[in-house]
Amino acid sequence: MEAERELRGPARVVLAVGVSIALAAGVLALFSQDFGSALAQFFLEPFSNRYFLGNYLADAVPLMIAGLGVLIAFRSKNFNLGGEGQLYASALAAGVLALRLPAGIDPLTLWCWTALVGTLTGAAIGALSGLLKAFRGVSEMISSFLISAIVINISDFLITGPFQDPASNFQTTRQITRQFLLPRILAPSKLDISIGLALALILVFMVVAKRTRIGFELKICGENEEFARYCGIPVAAYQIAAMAVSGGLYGLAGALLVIGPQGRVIRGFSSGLGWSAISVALLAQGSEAGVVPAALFIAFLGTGSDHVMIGSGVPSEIISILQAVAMFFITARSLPRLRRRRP
Amino acid sequence: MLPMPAVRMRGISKRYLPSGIHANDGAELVVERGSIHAVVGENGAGKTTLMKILAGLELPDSGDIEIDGKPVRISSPAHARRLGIGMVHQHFLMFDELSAAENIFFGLEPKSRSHILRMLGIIDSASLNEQTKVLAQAYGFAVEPSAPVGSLSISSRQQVEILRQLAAKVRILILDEPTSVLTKQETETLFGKLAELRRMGRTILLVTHKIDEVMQIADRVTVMRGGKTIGTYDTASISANELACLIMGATSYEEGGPHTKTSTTGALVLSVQDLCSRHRHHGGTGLSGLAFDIHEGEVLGICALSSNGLDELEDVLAGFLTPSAGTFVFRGHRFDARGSHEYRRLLKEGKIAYLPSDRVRRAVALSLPVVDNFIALDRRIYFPRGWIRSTLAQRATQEAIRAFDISARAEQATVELSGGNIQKLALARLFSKKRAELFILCEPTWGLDIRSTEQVYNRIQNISDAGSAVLLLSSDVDEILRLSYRIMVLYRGKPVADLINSGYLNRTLIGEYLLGIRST
Amino acid sequence: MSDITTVLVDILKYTIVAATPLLFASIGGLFSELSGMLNIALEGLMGIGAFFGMAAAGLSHNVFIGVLAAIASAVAASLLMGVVILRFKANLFIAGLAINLLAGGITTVLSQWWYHTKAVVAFSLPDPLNAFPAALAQIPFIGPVLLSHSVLTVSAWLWTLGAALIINNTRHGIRIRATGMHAQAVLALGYSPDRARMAALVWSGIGSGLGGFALGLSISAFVPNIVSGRGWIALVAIYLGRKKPLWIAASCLLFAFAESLSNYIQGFSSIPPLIVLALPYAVTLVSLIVAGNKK
Repeated sequence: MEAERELRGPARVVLAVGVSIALAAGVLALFSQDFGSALAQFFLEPFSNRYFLGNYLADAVPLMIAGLGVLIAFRSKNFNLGGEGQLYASALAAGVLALRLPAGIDPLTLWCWTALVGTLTGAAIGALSGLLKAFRGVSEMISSFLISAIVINISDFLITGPFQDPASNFQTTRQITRQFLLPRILAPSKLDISIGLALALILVFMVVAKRTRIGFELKICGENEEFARYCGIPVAAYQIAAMAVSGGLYGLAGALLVIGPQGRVIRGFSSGLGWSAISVALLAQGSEAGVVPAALFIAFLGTGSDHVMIGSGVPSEIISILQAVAMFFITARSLPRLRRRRP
Repeated sequence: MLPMPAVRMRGISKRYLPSGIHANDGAELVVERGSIHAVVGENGAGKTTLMKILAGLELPDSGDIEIDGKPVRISSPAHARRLGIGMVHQHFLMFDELSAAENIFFGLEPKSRSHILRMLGIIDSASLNEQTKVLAQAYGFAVEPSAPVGSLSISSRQQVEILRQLAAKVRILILDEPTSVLTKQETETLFGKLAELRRMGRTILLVTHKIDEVMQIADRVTVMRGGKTIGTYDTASISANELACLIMGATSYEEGGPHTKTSTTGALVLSVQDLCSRHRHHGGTGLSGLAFDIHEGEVLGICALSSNGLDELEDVLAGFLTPSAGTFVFRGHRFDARGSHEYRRLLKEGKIAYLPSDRVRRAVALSLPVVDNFIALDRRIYFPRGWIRSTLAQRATQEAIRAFDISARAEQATVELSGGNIQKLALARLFSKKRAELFILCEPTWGLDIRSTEQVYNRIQNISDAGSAVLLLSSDVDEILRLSYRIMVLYRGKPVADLINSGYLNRTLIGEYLLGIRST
Repeated sequence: MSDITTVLVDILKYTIVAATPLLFASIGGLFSELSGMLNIALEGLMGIGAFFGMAAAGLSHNVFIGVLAAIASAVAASLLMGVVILRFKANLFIAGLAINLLAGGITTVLSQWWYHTKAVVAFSLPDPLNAFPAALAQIPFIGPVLLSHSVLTVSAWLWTLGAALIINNTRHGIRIRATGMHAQAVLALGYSPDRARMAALVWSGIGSGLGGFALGLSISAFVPNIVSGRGWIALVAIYLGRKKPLWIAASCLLFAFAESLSNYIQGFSSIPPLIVLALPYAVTLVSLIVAGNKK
């Protein structure tokens, strides 16, 4: 009966990371004219200078924040598949606010307001799925996806319509003035001070999870719902709250992109970030601290793919394949032995 | 020369992990062909496990099985079926949205007669229903073939289960507690069918703990206790009382603990009136017309064998099941069945402390460390103003581990603990808190060794002495007799006895109430 | 014919066309739903079917080859998913999500490799075979709306009827349904729930593959994100149809009508087209909420 090997968390992470890197190398071998230099581009270039390193880290920041949100939803056994829309709509809300606030405003005030509005927008969208689950029994996966699809269309319209920058050839809002963008570190790269906020948030969530009653009760809800009810914990409230937090962090990630590296909201702004955040949460294996290396890894795959695309002609969508393979391995709970079981 | 027995099981042992409880410990069973053979014993005696092993649902750790004289190793239900063995489970294995005919001939449905449709694998529904009718008639069952089984009564569903086994040409039919969900009349009908099947040469194994039924229908009876076989007897040569003694153990039970308290003088804590509920697993009746009062310092023991209403009473009292009728009066506050969320607040505030019987599913989160499970109920204490007091939590957990002799570390994952240690953890958690006014303890010593059991009994005695009311829900008669001031017995969800635990009560007498052969 | 009638005919005709991919996919997804697995990978499986189906059809200049390739590729992907879920005991939803990501990645990467574009790949294919004699299309109203459709569109309806037959009237179908109702009982009766689930996933693959291919064929092209949420809409159709094939077909028609309407409005009204594009999702979401199963 016990012919199956249980795969423990760390083993799964090592497998997932290892296999996706090996696969990346394999794809490079297949597609690139010069395997050696493509390999070097993929694995080394992100670290080769200040500019690349900064951009790489900047890519990891939204992944950390949004991945943290997905992790919180996972902890209460909720799947938020609406990240793309939550991030996009929140970014737009934050961007429009930033453009409308009076020019004389203090930058710090502007950052706080945009971050808050972005967070609340995402939280509201996420909470909607939580409410539908709690009161109508609607699967939060399907509802969050559909809501996201609607929100994306509406945002597309708003960007190309009312908020379109008349001076631009792109479908985009106007550019936020430089003074209202977050201060950069590692210039000329895109990295800004939001990385500090991301790390601080992870720290805060770690403390909440480990030290507070709220974190404790959320954990109980996810581990055993019947036990949670025995303990008198309001399970439905935690489900809704978890979806709201998850959406809110997607929203914050979007807002920070607008007042940071992007400076405006281009159509198709989220570009897969919503899905990558799920990979991050899965790789983090339920630990807030794990979000940092997980985000760095997924961002590394993305950056590596971008560099290779520029260099070797392999499209950057290769990252979806790598992530999918990593997901397969991270979710496998057992590896069957190769020899057949006794009948 | 003796005829070859249909079933011979020798030295069967089976241990369940992680609890480590021996469900079977060298059990033996010999069943003559063409007989009705009862297997009896208390809850946890190992009857069902032994039958599951015979039906291929569990693999024994050791032991030999012979079917019709041939040694076999029954590896799967499919294998058991090929050997002609089939089991009707206590909780039916039914596909509610499929018709009776589809359930009965599941996997054996007749293909269409038309060549083309046959090649497409289309079933001949008319012939399927016809076959069902013929089968039902052959054995004298009345089943409507096209009705979805979800819409059938419990007894009809049971008939479908039996017909399903007969359709598979089963020669050895195992029935696990078949009458626990049936009315008296339905039971009579079932027994008529079983006698008919015996006449046709089928071998029937009947798992039960109802002695009157054994005496009425079975040819022979095997008594099990503690996973072991006590003996096999001809029902013609044994009396119901002798059988009850064999099932319950010692021939006479020496008076146990000091249940000398006669203090109904304490104030009334909880009064339950006319409590009714549905069954935990299906729409039938779980509890009907239950009423009791419980006072400060009193231990009220409520006893029943499985599927006789104890589970439902637990769920209702714990706020997991909304009763269909009835009122609670707690300290003068009245709650009716609909307002059960107000009642649940009593549990939340710790005025009522409750120990679940299903410790793995309800009492702990297995993946969390011991300390988390220990503090989970008393979050007000361990998270004052929302922040954890981890030193306090650690210290309290370690104290509990010491005081209750739990073999675990505070930071160990609870899943690594044995069942007994999980139970001690749950008990320690309950007894460590500010004293509740009412303790509802469900199967508090199930799976504990003698020493731990004794400790638990002392603790229960102490909280009762200190003035709390204790409601003890247990299927262990010794425990009930040892601790209770008053004893109620449920049979088929109804109270059949309400007795003061004075000197004349013994386990045989309680056993007769439990088994439904005596009522007041 | 009056203008309004023309418009109505157009909208209704396109409703039938737009229902084709939904019907294929949701009936395919129904099998896995009945076996107890909510298949969130329909979206990805459709994308895979669309890409490989169109590529094979373009290469061979033969629609039938395209159909086979669409089925084969989507079935292969659903087998992969089945192995990961049933053998490696992976989480159903994460595995489904991974298939969706994989589909997006593989189709784009291969499109870049084979066709050197990540945008529209147009294929010139033989005209779709009409299922009805041309004369029938002359019947007023009914002709253009119902009797002018391609073989593939008609196949979607045959697929629905066939699935209903398989589900209700074959051992195979009964076993899949029984697995979803009570897998433990299937095991106790000596059959393998895992095998039933694997078979159900294969059915999902066939349906989604065909659905994806129908999408590609309807525009004679492949575009990344060609499926754009239809896999999820198909999933909701299963719920809205209460897992009954004919009611699912009705739900698909409802969603297809929303899509057809939104296409029409885009062309002729002052409402911004991008907002109108959200209409099918909105209709789907509302129907999901209405069909909700709690309280």
